[in-house]
Amino acid sequence: MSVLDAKVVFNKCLAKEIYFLLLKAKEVSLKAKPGQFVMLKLYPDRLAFLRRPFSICLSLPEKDIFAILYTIKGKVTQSMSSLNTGATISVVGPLGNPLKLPENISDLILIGGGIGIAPLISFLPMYHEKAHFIAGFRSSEDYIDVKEIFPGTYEYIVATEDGSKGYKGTSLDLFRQYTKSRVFNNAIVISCGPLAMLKKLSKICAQAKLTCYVFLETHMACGMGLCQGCVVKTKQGYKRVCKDGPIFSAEEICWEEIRD
Amino acid sequence: MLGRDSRLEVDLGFIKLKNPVIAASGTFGYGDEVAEFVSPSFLGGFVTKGLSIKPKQGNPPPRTCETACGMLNSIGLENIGIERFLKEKLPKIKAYNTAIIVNIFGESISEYATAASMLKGVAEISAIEINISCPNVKKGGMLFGTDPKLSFQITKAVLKESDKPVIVKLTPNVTDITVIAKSVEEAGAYAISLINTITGMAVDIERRKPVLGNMIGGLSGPAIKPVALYMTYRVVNSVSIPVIGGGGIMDYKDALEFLIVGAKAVQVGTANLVNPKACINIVEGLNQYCTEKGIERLQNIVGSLRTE
Ligand SMILES: Cc1cc2nc3c(=O)[nH]c(=O)nc-3n(C[C@H](O)[C@H](O)[C@H](O)COP(=O)(O)OP(=O)(O)OC[C@H]3O[C@@H](n4cnc5c(N)ncnc54)[C@H](O)[C@@H]3O)c2cc1C
Ligand SMILES: Cc1cc2nc3c(=O)[nH]c(=O)nc-3n(C[C@H](O)[C@H](O)[C@H](O)COP(=O)(O)O)c2cc1C
Ligand code: FES
Repeated sequence: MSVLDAKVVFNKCLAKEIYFLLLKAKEVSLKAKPGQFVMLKLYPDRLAFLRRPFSICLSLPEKDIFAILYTIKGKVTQSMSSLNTGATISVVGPLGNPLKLPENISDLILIGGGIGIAPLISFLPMYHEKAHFIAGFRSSEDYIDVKEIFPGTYEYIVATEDGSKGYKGTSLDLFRQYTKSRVFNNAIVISCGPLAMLKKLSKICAQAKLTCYVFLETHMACGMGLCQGCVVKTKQGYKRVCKDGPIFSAEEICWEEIRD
Repeated sequence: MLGRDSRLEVDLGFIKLKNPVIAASGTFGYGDEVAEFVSPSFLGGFVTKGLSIKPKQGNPPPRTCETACGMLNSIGLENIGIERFLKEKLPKIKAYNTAIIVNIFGESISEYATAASMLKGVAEISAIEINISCPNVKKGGMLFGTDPKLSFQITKAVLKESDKPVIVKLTPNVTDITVIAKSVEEAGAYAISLINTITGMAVDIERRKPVLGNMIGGLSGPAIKPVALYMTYRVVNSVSIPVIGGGGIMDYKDALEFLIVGAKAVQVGTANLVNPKACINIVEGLNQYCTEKGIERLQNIVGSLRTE
């Protein structure tokens, strides 16, 4: 884990209010494991007091580079969107408890809702041969072609709420449809997206007896496990999303106690 | 001339610190996790997360939110309890070459006293810091630290049960902080630290709901520095025991302000959350300041404020 300044390699708009940011930071790119994140701060730092958490969506250690896929949410992400090549960003990371998948899995089903696709992409370099990537967007306007970010031998299937691209419906509708006609012998589901979607998915997976992991998002002040601020209620009590997560087994979470 | 490092040394009377920079309670975990980023051995000392006799689960989330130049937190003193701290954390941190200060709290005077007694005989602990900014359950949730009599009684009770130097950490949420400072000095406190967070809240205008799960929280960070500095200045001038100042310190210049008004050492809290190297940068900055200004001992500037 490092605290360092990273240079912007490029920062490109991929869809409506969605950007792909490449940062040069050798130590981060070397150490990053699937599912980890970084805490970022822009310069000059008067804009916001706290750092902001972003998933490492791809890491290319041979080029000393890692990538972030982000959407404009508020003041920091707005300002990030106008970063130019060569600009400097302060980075803390990689952070978070990486998920160790069992060796013998047959299929990895990745389900992303909107910008929730970002951390899921990080599993592709290692698992694309076993992966099925299901993504849901609002419309073709915020659609991201994951194959362009990481080409590979996985299936990438897409749903949009208005039907302007791919299947008409949500990523969960598509997931149900997709799994109906297939038999998986040792599959694992990993998902990231809005809380309501994760809640629903955890029920579906429990019924279908599918092992399910979810990425949770809570407000983080430090991202390093120091402040106990980012907790989520689990069956073993409060756990820190930044240090014990951000990936949790869906079964472990007390869903009914989480405030939307 | 003193060596580069020894010129930052601080003698608080009851402990010697290698420099005046202490990481504040609740922003440095138990000292083990931050070690991935920085070695605590660079610090004058660090204060553990507040510990109670039994583990405490803390407040419902959300527990933090950003404010102008600072943050609110309502962690609710979540901690693993003294027993687990001694068993699981102390063995990992005792090797650090720095002063370990254990912060304790309770919901009644006897809980404070019991907490102190549980730390008796643990040689690795340099001092105890008592957080008197907690609600007194018996008195309807009023903060202990806002009542001079209760502050006196807690200090006395902890001193009686403890074989360690006792630092009392004051809350700023009072009308006149010098009244509390004098009463804990009279009770026998070895030193005073201040300030804890300032009570505040934030509202989500979309939902018309409090942002924090607990509704109210404590404000910290640069937003509180002027208040903290003023309170430190007032306390320094009303007691004769050493004062450890802090609140909103982000860099060595902020730290110097506290030293100049008379604090012998400083506590750095929220800055650690934003930059885990904050404390080390401050130590480095103080060292450079000494070099640039030709200062032999940093302690010579303590209380050097010119007011004429
Ligand atoms: C582990 C983790 C990974 C994330 N990964 C990504 C990612 O890959 N791509 C992406 O686009 N977004 C990601 N996010 C969300 C991202 O952190 C927020 O969108 C961002 O912080 C918004 O900052 P802002 O200043 O633009 O918005 P603000 O103006 O600050 O607020 C807009 C919203 O962002 C949320 N937010 C603000 N600060 C924080 C914080 N410190 N921690 C958590 N939430 C915050 C607030 O709840 C608020 O609703 C992730 C969040 C977490 C916790
Ligand atoms: C997240 C967080 C947790 C804290 N927990 C404690 C605690 O357990 N005990 C305590 O005495 N003070 C606690 N504090 C107060 C700090 O130690 C410090 O006194 C205060 O934040 C002001 O300093 P700062 O502005 O440098 O953070 C906490 C502060 C923060 C931000
Ligand atoms: S954000 Fe501080 S502990 Fe997770």
